[in-house]
Amino acid sequence: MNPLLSDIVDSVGTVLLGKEQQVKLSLACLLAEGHLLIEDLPGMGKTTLAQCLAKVLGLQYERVQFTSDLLPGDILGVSVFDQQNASFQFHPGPIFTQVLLADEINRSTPKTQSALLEAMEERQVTFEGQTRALPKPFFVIATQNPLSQAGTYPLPESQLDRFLMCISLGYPSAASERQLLAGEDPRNQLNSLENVIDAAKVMELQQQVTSIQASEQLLDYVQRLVEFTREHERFANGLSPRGAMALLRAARAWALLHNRAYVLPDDIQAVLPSVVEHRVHGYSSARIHGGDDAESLSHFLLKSVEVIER
Amino acid sequence: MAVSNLTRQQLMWLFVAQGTAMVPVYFILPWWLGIYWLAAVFWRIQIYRRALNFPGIGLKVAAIIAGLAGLALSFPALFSVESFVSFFIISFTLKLIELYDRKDGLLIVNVSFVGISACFLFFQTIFIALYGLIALIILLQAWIALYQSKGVSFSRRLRKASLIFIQALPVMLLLFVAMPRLGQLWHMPSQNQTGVTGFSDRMSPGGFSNLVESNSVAFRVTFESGPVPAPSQRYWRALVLDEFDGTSWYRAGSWRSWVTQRASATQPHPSWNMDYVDAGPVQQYSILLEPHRQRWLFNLMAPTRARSSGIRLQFTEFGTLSAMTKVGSRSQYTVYGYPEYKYSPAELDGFERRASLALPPRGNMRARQYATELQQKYSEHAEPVEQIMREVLKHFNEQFTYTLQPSAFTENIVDAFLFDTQRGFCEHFSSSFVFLMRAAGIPARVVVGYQGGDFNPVENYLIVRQRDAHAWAEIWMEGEGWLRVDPTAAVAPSRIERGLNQALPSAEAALVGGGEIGVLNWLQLRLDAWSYNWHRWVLSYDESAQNKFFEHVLGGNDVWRIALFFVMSSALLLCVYFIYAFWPSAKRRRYEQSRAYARHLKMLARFGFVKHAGETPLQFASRVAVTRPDWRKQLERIAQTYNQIAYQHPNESLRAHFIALCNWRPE
Repeated sequence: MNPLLSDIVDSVGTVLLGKEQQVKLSLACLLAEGHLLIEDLPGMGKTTLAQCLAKVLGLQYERVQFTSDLLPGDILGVSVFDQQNASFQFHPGPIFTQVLLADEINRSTPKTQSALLEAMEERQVTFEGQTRALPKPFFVIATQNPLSQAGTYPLPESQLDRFLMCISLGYPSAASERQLLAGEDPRNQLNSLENVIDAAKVMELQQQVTSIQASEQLLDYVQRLVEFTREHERFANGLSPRGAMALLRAARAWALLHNRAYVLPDDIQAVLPSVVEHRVHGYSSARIHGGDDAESLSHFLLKSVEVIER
Repeated sequence: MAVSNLTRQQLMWLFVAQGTAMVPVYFILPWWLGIYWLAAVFWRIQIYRRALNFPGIGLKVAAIIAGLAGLALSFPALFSVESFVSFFIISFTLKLIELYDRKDGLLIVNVSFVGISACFLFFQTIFIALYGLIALIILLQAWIALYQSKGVSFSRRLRKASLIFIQALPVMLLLFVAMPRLGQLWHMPSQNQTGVTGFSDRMSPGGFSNLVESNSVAFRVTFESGPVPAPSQRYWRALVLDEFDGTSWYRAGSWRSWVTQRASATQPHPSWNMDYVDAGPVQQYSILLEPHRQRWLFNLMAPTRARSSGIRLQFTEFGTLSAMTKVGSRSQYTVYGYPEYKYSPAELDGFERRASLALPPRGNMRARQYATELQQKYSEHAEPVEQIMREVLKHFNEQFTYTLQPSAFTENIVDAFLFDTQRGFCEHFSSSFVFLMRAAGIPARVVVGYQGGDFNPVENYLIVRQRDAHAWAEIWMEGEGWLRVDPTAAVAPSRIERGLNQALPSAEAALVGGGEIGVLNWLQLRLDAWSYNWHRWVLSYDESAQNKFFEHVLGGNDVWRIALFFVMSSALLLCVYFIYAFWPSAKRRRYEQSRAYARHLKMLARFGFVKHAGETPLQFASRVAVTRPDWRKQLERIAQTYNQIAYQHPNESLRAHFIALCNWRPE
């Protein structure tokens, strides 16, 4: 692994125990200039992950707790009348930051969600006719409760597509949990966390990701994968070109993470579940019959597509 | 609300598939079936748009009852091919409104294949066959669409469907050639008689002028041995009419036809007393007859025998050929004969003589008088019959006009034609001529059939069309027998020599069509040749043709030969497919390193280590290394080098090194 990035992962790992894979994926997502969606139950360490990442990378951090009465203005900012200047003064909202944790994004109404998602895509905020650029780097970590919970507005497919990756943390292993219980409160540990790099270095790394090489044969493999989702009967919808690009971008970041200047099929396979699972779905009737959820689909996809041309 | 998970694209292609399969039969079956189908399509689209629900059981039953009621009204005779196919179409149509998911979609596609074959019950032309092939590709494409998510382009699916189709084609051909022929599907009773043109067994004024406007083909003839006769000798006899009632000529049916049996066509009819003048080789020709739903067939004079595998042939006492049952489908038969003959030269039996002189008791007095005058004039002459005939023909030639649009008469039509208008058509000439001959005491009768035919140089055969329909006369002369006399030839020789539109005034020639020019004419001949060959080689490929084929190709038609041929050909085809699909052909791999790596994999496979599709080289190497730790080093080096070449940079020297690495064999 890249020693610098390895330090970052280790450093986050001191607080978020036993989640190395998820930390690496989150880091790859950030380096690929994508946004991250974490889908899990409350209390699994989603917020901790976001905070740790921001801290270790030396990035400015804001958090917005999404509720059903949250309004776009609460995120983007508001204009307030300034009596001294007799004019409106823009007060930037929490979105003007480098790492934004949108906690429980599916608890707010679609209107507010879309305000955030537009900002994510454009990396700028247009407010009252004026366009304001967001700080760089800009990274959104949204968390989402599983949809079965009451009082949620599920993100539509088009919005899900804007997140480069969707991961879930899952319960910690018994050993990690024991360590967690026995050790110090993670919140205190968080405060003692030192930043390993700074924002400039993050942007430099992001730049490096784009120069990671993807050979013809690798692109062939990506195309085979994408084509398979479009042609095979188990997929109700195939991967979009944006999905294909996301897959390659994430794999490039993964390669950088492993200190390689070129992408291997192994990189593709490592990031594929988290990139693809929120973008495809099987047939609804099959889902009822215990068949094709997104996880088994991505597994099936990896298993079925030839890595090397036959 | 029940929701179907078929996409818009899948639904659309299902409609197209179903429509493609059924469109041809809509032209044959009652018009409302098309509307019925469109209504079902409309309903299904409304369901897709959530404007309507899937129908409940009550509505479905109502739709079925409506369809059945329609059937009962449209088909008075309930059991025919048409009614069964219509019933099939109704059930197939109704499947649309219970089309929920992919399973139902598959059913529609599969039944559509049956639908295509149903079209062949009504049409057997080469064009419907081509249509069927294209329809197959469309169906395959719809089938593939059922398994794809939306957005995959049509052309891509079409390519895939065409590939499947091309792969299936050799199997189709093999099955066609080798499967036992179980009779022809389209030889089924059909009620459908519309659209069949042809003359009838009564020759009434005006009957022929309708026919000559029709360009449709009556039959096609290939001369298999002997020269193609000159146009003036192409008299295709169909019927001999020997009874006249003052207006129409017809066959003296009644009890006589019972007595004068038809005889098998394996030898000349005993009552012909034919003297064949053996002037060279036997004339042999095959006739491919369009279905005319009549029993009479067509032949040149004078036949000796005829054979056919499809129809049962008989000779009639009049030197014509007839089928045992009405000809309801395209049929082929072969006739042997000699162009030079004398037909019943010695004597005419009393019965036939009386029949050939009979005239209605009244009417046409001027014609009778004219005939009597002629008879008296030449009574002292050495050859009265020939003289009378000559004089009448000369009279025709000098005074009469050949036209398609004669005046219509109701009474004394022979008189009116002979002495008043003097304008007419073959039926008028032959009818009046025979009348005059009979009135003059010469046995005579009318013959109808076709005269002429266009020679198709593309495949060397004659096309005889409805517009070649013709009527002429026969008179009996002592010592000569029945002689063909064509009074029309006396008036308009070019009708006989060169065809109908040459004989007509230019204003009338347009009525008959025909005179196409250059490219169009060639194209028409070319198309006709295709369709002719289609019939000769495909549609008439019956059991005997199959046996002949096997004898020719396999040297016999024993069961073991056929079975062996079938099995071997299937095996050969399978081999070709196998090679095509699984041959890891060096040419098909784009990259040299892949070829070398494939060698490596093949070597490992011999040890029982087979790489799974989804395994990367590194994953595979470490999996094998778990079982064979001693190979680990080499395996990993190969995998890593492969990765370097394939994914980092294809360095030439590294590639050479890699190729050498791949030749590694474990001890």
